[in-house]
Amino acid sequence: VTAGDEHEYKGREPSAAAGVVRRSPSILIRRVTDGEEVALPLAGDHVVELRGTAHTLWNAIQGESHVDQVIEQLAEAHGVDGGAIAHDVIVAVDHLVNEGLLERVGS
Amino acid sequence: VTLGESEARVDRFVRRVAKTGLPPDLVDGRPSLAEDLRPVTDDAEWTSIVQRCSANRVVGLLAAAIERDDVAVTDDQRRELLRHHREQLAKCLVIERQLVRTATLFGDAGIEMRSLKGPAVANLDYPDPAMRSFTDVDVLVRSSQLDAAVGLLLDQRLERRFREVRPGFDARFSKGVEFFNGIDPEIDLHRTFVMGPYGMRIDLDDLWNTSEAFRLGGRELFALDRDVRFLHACYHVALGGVVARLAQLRDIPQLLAVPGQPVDLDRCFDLVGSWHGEAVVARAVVLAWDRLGLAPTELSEWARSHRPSSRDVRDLRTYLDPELGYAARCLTALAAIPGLRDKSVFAWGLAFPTREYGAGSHAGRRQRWAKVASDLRRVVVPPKQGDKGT
Repeated sequence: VTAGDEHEYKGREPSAAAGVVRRSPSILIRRVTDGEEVALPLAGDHVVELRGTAHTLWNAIQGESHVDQVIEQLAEAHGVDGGAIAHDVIVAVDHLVNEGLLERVGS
Repeated sequence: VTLGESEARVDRFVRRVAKTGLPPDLVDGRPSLAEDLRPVTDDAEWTSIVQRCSANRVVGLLAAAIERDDVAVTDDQRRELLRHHREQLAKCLVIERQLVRTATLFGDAGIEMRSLKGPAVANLDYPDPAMRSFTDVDVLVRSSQLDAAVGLLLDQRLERRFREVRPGFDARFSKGVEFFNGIDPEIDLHRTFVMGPYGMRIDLDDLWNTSEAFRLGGRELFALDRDVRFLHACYHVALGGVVARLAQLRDIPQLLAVPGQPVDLDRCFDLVGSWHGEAVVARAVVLAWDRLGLAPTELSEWARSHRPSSRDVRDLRTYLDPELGYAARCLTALAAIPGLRDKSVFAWGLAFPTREYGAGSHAGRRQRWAKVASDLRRVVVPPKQGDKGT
């Protein structure tokens, strides 16, 4: 399963509240290249490839991170307006939460 | 260009890949492998290289070599490599998950465990665990807890690969028990490093006195300490029974080269001396240095000059001669078992196993005894002159 290419997040509806997230401690992970990792949640049944948007997002989440702050951070790093990427980031967060790679820890 | 030349080129390339990231003084004093790893222009040859790297579990080292610009590749070649790399890494994660599940299962039951070989070495001894791939789960448990561990794994719908000779035999004399179910990664439950005389001579308390922790999936696991990991790597390479893969050979210089945390060779020699396993370490070091083409060191010079005793020559044969079977190794193991009482229990168990043991592997007891007799005749034949056993 790939969690990465930006087109995967186009057209998806984000969850209502993004909230605070952190990396799940219960995952196994390996670096493939500087821009790609593979991860397996202990409770999951498939390996997830993290690349593209998802990998950028993954790297941006250190400790407990509020998704709004992550959006601001990524927008600044890429020199774009936060509003332009907010939708994609929130959908990507949802996806990683569903895959068991991220945990929601607050709103 | 003949097929032979191409194969030789592929072999040279892959062996040089296996040295990626080792200290320059071990790699013939050259800081980079770039001059050995010339760009490959033949796509078929590149496919052979990737496949051979995969078979030798050094795809991660090839990926590292490319990242270090030690080898230039085309976009297509890079894609092909990354596909294999991704697949191997995904398999490693599945194996690590099995390891964590086993650790949890044993931990909940109060069974102590040490992670052995690939996962432990990858996570503790390589700068990036992606550089070292592996294919199964190896764990060490105490002899006194082996039967309980076996019971737990059987409850998980795993099957033993071989039946027990007699009840209680495994916990006293075996290397351990292998499990499989055809779906999950196999689990090799160890009591000692190897079966046979060299496994019998290891003081198992030495394996448990110290440990080194690492984290996987949020859980703390324990491995052997680095010195004992080094010795285990040597036992595996020297006595593994098949030609060691490059990844296993690479473990030996890798363990010696971990920055700031060197293997204490004096302690290693004390330990392996008490286990009467110097010939094993010497053989492993010579194999690693020769196959990888490493620069001489004090250790490799010692290994080359080591002369095994006549007992070592005989014992090594039981591991290395493909025509010698289980019985031959058991005969030499018998000599390594201390005490007459244990020797007799061991011999009795092998001579008169339960009816279930060996079912299906021989046509009957008569055939089994014929094979035993054949092995025993072979092991008492003196080795040919010039066979140094290393």
